[in-house]
Amino acid sequence: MLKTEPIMINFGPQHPSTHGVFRMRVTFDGEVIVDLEPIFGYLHRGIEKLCESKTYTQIIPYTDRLDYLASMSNNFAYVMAVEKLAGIEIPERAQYLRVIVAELQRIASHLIAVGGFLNDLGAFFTPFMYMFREREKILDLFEMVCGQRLTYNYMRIGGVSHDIPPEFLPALKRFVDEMPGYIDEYDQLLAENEIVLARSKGVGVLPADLAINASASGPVLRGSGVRWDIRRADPYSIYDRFEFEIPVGKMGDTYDRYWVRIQEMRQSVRIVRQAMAELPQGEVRAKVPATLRPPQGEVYARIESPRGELGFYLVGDDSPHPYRFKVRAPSLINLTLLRDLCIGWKLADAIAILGSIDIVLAEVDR
Amino acid sequence: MGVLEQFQHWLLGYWPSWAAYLVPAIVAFLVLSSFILLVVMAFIYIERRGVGRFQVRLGPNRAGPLGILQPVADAIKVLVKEDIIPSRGDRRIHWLAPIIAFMPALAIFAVIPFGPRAIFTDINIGILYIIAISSLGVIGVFMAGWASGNKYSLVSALRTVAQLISYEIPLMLSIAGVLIISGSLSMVSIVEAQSIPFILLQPLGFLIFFVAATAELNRTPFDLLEAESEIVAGYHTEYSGMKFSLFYLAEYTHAFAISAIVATLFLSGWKGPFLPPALWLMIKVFLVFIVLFWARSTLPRLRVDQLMGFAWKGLFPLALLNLFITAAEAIIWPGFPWQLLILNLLIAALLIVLWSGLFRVAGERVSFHRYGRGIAKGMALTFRHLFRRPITVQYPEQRLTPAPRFRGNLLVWDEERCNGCRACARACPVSIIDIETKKGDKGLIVETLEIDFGRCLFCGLCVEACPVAALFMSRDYEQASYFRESLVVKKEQFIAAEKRPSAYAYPDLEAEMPPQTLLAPPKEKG
Amino acid sequence: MTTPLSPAQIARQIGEVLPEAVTDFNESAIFVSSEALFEVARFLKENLDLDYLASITAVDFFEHFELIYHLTSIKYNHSVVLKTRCYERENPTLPSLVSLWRGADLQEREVYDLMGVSFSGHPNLKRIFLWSGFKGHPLRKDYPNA
Repeated sequence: MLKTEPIMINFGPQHPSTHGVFRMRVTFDGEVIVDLEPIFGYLHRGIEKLCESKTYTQIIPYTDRLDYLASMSNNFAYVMAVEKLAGIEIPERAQYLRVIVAELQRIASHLIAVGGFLNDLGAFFTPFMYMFREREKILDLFEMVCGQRLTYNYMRIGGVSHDIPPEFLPALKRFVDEMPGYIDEYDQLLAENEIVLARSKGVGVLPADLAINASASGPVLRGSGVRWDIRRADPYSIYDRFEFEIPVGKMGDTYDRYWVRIQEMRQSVRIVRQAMAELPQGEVRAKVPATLRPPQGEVYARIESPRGELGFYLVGDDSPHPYRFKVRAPSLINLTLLRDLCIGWKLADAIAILGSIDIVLAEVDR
Repeated sequence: MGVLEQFQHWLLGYWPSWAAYLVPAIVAFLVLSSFILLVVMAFIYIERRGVGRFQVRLGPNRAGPLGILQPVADAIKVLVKEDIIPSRGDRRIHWLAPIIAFMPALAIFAVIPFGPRAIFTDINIGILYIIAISSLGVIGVFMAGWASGNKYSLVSALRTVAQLISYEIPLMLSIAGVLIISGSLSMVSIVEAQSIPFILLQPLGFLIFFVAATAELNRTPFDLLEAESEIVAGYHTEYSGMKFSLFYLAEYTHAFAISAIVATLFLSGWKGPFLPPALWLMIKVFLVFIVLFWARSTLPRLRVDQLMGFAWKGLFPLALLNLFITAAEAIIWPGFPWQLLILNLLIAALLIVLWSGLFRVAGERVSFHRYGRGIAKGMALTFRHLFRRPITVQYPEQRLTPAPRFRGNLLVWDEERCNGCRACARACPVSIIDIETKKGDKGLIVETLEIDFGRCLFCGLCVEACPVAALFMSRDYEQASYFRESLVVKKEQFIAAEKRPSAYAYPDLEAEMPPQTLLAPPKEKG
Repeated sequence: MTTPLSPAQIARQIGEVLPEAVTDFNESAIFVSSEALFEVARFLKENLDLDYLASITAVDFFEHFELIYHLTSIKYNHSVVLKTRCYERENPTLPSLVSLWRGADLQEREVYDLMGVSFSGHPNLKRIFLWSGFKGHPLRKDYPNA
């Protein structure tokens, strides 16, 4: 009998496929994973502490820097929390604009997630480039409404910072008309590709009960077949007015998580279409005092961000600063089960599983 | 008789025998290596440009016209880099490895015929020589992986050995079919025997050879040893400078050699109408290479167990069957009439369909029973993208116009209007705006204004806070400096700066701004 | 719509099984004593199908730490907010809920790291974002601001 010894390899914090400065300490037996320990904190900036000394408006740019691939969603969740805390009603038009940009953001974020996942499977950047092409169009639209391409700082307490310019709606129309065609192209490139199927089907299976028990959320939870989408389960803003489906996977493997994201992009296009058609005229920002002093109290507001349940827990104390500012980061909590998913699989699968969970390190570490 | 022997015979008439044997070898080496270097540069150029087009990018086009000097620039860059030997590595083996990896690839060219008589040495066991030599490269790769003292490299080295040894067997067996038809081991006679290109007589053999050769070359979807997303760069993670460039060169030389072997064995080598033989061979070589990187830009990579399974369960039995069928045909129809072509195509199709049903990974859940249809679809899609307009632009010559309300990198400050109320400084989330004022005749006068743009978030809250419209975002988007201090902009600089305000927070300005450049939908030519 | 269950009703239900566990309740949350936290959580998970632990938050109120657990039932789509208080400042300890909800794992580590509340029974309680030699717990209100 050949005597073998396990080998320990550190993946990251500098590694091409850890999606940032994430580190996994993996023990292998040959190429098979026998142990895995995720190590966090390389991007910890103490945003929660920092925001306790900022005014409520000043925090908005900081939320941009949590999940930088979905800044709009972060803005959305945060301003919702503050509005709930201070009891502010926001105008209809602002609600619709928020939904439009949040769904566009979901498409943009899922494009990166899927493209990055395929890169992790070993595709030589081609799907990634195709998906970046479409994301770039969304960024153009965002630049048009708020002047930035990554850190939008678009939403304000009581509405959004600016109304959309007149050229926005035609450009958006063009985008939603051609986007389904591009999604079909991705399907043609990947959905039937034997290598993609062989690499992702049955790999990293997350059973539904375990996914719920481990507080997984977003596409990770839905990939396991749990029909739980906060837009539908606990509708916030005006999501109860739109028709859309919640795609769910069957087995909870990496393929299902990838598939759920592709389908969610189609649904997001659908929501944007409806919101565009119903967009009312009017104000985009409610009257809010320049220095907001929400009353004593606490609030938990959550939305369905592209990565899952993004919640903000705020404690107000009549001062212009929140007493406690806490982020329920879906990326971090989805990683709870990384070890369970990876054990028994091969080196290459660990990368694919991590890619299919889709983390953003700025949100994991905060 | 090859060119090398003819040269030796001619020299033997004038020079002592040792010189007559040594000099031609050196000359041949120099000629060959400079020729290979040229071809490799062409390979690198067309691969980088080609992959760029597959990915709707422009590809490298800065160095020389159409970027034709890009490989030269790459080479110079790599060669002048610092050579690093890991302190825990094995110094001598680290040095030797790239040389051992490179030499076999070079040595293959001794028996590649570029024309009826344009071959260095027409040894009568040419094929055997190629098989023997080309497997030696793996030793260099393994040495590199071992000597680097890096775990990624070690994993890569072990994968290399497993992969190359496994794929060597179907590779050889698929060649055997060709040998049966041509009845010779000499490369020249094999080409001469191809009145019909063997790709038609041996379709299955060609496929097996091509797939196995892709694996030998470590190209996608078999590029497990340098799988970037898993093991960083595999065996050459710890290599830099000259030694890295030798590995790089070896890889492309090997690609050239394999393309040339495919062209010689299956695509009737130098044969072809009108054009000179050497040119025909090169055309075929480039075609094969284009297919190689076309696959690279489309496909993801297999996992290590799937890779081995594919070799042993898929290619190996198929190659054996192919050999058996070819041998049977040689007995029944010794002349190999062209009608066999149809029969062989049918057999190949049947066997592939039968065999693809065998592949099941992850239990019974996935099968390859689609006979590669999905892969073909993907390849068709990337091919179509080849004709789409690239979406990247030629920066800095071609600049995009940002949106009217773009939040650019500096602020535009209007001294006349500013009343020194410090609303911007209070609104700033990172407190980088420093204003000091003194009492003047009509309200406050700004004495100092300093903004540290090294820390600016460009959130625009200061502009929104300004009650007198004295502060604007700018529409510039280029900001670079060697020193952090120079990012602290002072009052005088604000006054002197070229003012290009953005319409952010001032919607009235929007009408007169140039429209934003939007990413145009790609146009299809065909 | 997720229906928040009435804290008064639940407090009564808990009181029947675990007397003295519930210390207080208001219109949005139930307060339980830190000793009974685990038992109450188990009761809620088993009897009210609160299978999803959405979030754990810790707030420092100087005289006590308040831990807030947002529990949701994916099956029936209702929710409960559970709060507990820890009055010790030097070495506050609470029972860990990892054995009930795996999702508590990283969240409890985060609370431990940044707020300094330790959880007894946690399988791998160590700092998560900061390094192991770090002094203090930054989210506490008495942590010196730079």
